[in-house]
Amino acid sequence: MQEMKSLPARYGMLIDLDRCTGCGNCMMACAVENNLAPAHPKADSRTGITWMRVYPVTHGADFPYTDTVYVPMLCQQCEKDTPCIAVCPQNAVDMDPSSGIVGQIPQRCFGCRYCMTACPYHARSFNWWDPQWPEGQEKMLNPDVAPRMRGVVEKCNFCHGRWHAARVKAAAQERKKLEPGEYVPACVESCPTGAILFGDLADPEARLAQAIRGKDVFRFLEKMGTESKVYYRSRKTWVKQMAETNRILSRKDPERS
Amino acid sequence: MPNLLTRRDLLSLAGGSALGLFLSPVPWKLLDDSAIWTQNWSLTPKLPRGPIGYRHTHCTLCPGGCGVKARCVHGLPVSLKGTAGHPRNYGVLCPLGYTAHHLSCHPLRLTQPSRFDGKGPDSRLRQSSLEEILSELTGNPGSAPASSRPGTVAIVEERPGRTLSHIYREFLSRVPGSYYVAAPANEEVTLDHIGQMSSSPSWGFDLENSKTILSFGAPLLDEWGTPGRLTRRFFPQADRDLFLIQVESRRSRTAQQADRYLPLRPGREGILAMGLAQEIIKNNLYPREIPSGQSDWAEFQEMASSFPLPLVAEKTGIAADEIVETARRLAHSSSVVLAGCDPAGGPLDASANRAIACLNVLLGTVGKPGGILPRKEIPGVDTTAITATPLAAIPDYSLHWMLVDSTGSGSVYPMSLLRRKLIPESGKLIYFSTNLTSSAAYADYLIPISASLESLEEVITPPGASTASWSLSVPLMPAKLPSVEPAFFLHKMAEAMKIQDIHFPSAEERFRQRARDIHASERGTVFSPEKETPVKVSDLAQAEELWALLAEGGCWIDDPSPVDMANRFSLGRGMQLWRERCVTQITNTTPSADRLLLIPMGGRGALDTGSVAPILSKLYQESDLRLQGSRILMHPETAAEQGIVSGDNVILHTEIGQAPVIVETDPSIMPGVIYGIVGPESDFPIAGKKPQKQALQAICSLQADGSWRITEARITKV
Repeated sequence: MQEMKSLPARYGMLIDLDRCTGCGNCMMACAVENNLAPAHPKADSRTGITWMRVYPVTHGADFPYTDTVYVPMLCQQCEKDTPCIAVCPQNAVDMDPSSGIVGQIPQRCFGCRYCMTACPYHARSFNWWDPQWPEGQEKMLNPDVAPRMRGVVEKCNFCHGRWHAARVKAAAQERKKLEPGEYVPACVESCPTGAILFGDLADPEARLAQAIRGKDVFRFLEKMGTESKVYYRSRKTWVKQMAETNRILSRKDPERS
Repeated sequence: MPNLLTRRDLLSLAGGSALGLFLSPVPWKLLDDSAIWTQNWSLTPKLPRGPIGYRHTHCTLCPGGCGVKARCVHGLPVSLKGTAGHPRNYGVLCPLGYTAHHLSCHPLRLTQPSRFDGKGPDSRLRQSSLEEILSELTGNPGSAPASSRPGTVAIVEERPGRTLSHIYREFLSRVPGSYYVAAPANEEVTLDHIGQMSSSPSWGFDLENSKTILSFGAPLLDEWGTPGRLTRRFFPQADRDLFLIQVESRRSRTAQQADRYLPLRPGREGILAMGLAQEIIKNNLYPREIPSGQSDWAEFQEMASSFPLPLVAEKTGIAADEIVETARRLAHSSSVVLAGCDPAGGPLDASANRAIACLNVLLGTVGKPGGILPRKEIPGVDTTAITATPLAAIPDYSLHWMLVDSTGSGSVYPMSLLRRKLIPESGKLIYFSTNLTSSAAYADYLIPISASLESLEEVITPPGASTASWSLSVPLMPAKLPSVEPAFFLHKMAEAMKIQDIHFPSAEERFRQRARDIHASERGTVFSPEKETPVKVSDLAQAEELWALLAEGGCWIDDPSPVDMANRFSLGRGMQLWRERCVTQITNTTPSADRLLLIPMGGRGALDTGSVAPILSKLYQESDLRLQGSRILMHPETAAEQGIVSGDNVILHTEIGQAPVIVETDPSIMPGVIYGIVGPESDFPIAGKKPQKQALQAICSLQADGSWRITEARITKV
């Protein structure tokens, strides 16, 4: 039997914040693809489960000059000294060397939430409650993604199941490399404005690898040195400054924050 | 004597074994396995297994008509995405569309016909039967045999133009004095006014070729028309050639992205539109052929002169040079001026809509590419049985019963407006609905209909489209629960009312007939997901071939209408009343200082017409991307003047009623204006009771022209 080994890749993203309209398509496509359950009645924005979450961020200027940008935030797939991998006592977080994807292994997780504390991007969610779907809806869940139970952490894995399926298809055709567009996460596919570009950072000819060398491209909290593989782009200076300083201006009054 | 085992030996063995056990893999394997065993909890869903396939259909949650590609496992859809290359949505869906297949399992799904017993907040929902409901309705004076008293019943259809519309009209034509109300989508309001002024009744926006769009509040980049239609034009890969000007009283998603934003206080849209018209007329920026093509040109000029630039700038708060620049830009490119609100806000007032329509005529872009084009009707449309009546024209408190079909609607009338047409106490509202939503909870009788993707439906021309289209929404799953087809309900009603000689064909019979009508017209082409190029209808030998293409997810697109350059417009139709209203607006002083302006806000699906699946909690509950109902947005200064801060519970009062709401401050809202989020409500009625709180939309004031967008309000603290 001939062994087919794919070429290693480093999958990443570039999100154009000037194109994001905050429609929420990416959040819904992600939720459906990855079998996220509807919210528990007590869940809120801190305790809910959103692998991809779009944050409205306001400039703070007064009407009519108020500027709002919508920031899709997901696991940044940190490459260097990945904080969640470093702290997990269960080896429930692992980076796949063949794809660069930081994967969560729910079966090993016992819910200590060290990884959530360690993650500087708040990109992880904890199952505070048993996930429940309306009766009959389990027949319409995605069979490629295992559901998670109460007490474990979960996060974005760049639709790992789709990557596996693409690799199997490529291997069947005796190809070592995936074609562009052959592996696309659900959020990328759903974006109506083309704000999310996905690809292999290890391929210098890929559109993504070229795009991240362009102007106005940055990463959030770059100074932490995690070498995240999710890049952002915006021409707005205040957005880039926010990414550097992590100062997010809330829409709520100071008295309530 | 042999060595005997001592107690010490036994203890050593036990201790050593215990120590050794921890050095062995046994306990660690047990721990690991117990973690895995506990994964198999009783609630673990059993994921579907079986062959994986793909099917194409169309979404019917709104009139947008998006093509959908469903990934199915063992015959049931597990995920949806937009059909690539579809001529309507270009592969894009909205958040509702991605979860349409979940709606059949909605926890508040109506299982059988139901009714509310009792009155007010103590009324309780109880299951009923079609026979019981029909028996009560036919005992109602409005349902007496056709020969008796007239003017007592109405059907409100919020997605007119379907083959079902013909059945509604036929039925009502046998009930003397009854009303058929066709609620047009917000996207079509400007087009309706142009139709009223011309000989062609039906028009569409050629946004695909426009160079400048002036939008009065229409959420073009956020749930307007068909998703994907404008986003692909506005966010191309290369430099775009579209300039968008957004006029609104908040920096909405569309206003954020627009090339120019003009902040305008609500209610002044007509003033700005006429001010732009006056600039165009004064500087002769209109095409030379315009005056000869318009009746009442002189009167229109005279009326426009009532809106001089300095006065318009003062009344609108928009700088004079911005108004001038906007007028010039509109005049020098293929431009479209359109009006709209999100579905919750309803249309602008009639005079503003008329002014905006006239502005389009003045610019000379009506009938030209990039502007507004005539649009033919789908073949087989028959509106002769009974003409539509505007809801505002129905006398208040006159109806014995009203049937409301809001499935897949583009706009939803506030329930207070509908109930105002019913005779108090005895008037009944019948509502077709899949779920017990907060809109349905205001009805007297609920008739359960099939959920999205459960039954064969048709998708008619999306609002605002420049050409007609028609497609099928092919069911992807069997109906989970018994449901009533609207035509069947009407059939039973006709039997009970002893109305004869009406044919009630099934949905499939009606759709096949329409396909035959389209085939016979030899018009248009059919997009098919399976074919690289569209197929001309005239190349199809038989109607069955057309049906087969449509059943596989195809979409019929009509040919563009020939443009009649001799089209004349009557700018002055209804001018007397319009002039009075506009002049009143321009001379009116600002509203009293302590009155705030309430604007209802909510996208499609937020109006609780049954299209919000539980998983949309990701947007509404588990993040703050979209706000839930019963919240108001206001500028921090406005809140401070009222002595409230973000998070406060307050009571919002209008002349209609009051509603408890939660305050959120937002600096992107114009001071003095409140945006009220109408839904989805976070507290669905439970245990069969009606909601205690009144929805925000229900306390909005209803104007004589049928609009409800602007209501004066005040706030008191709880």
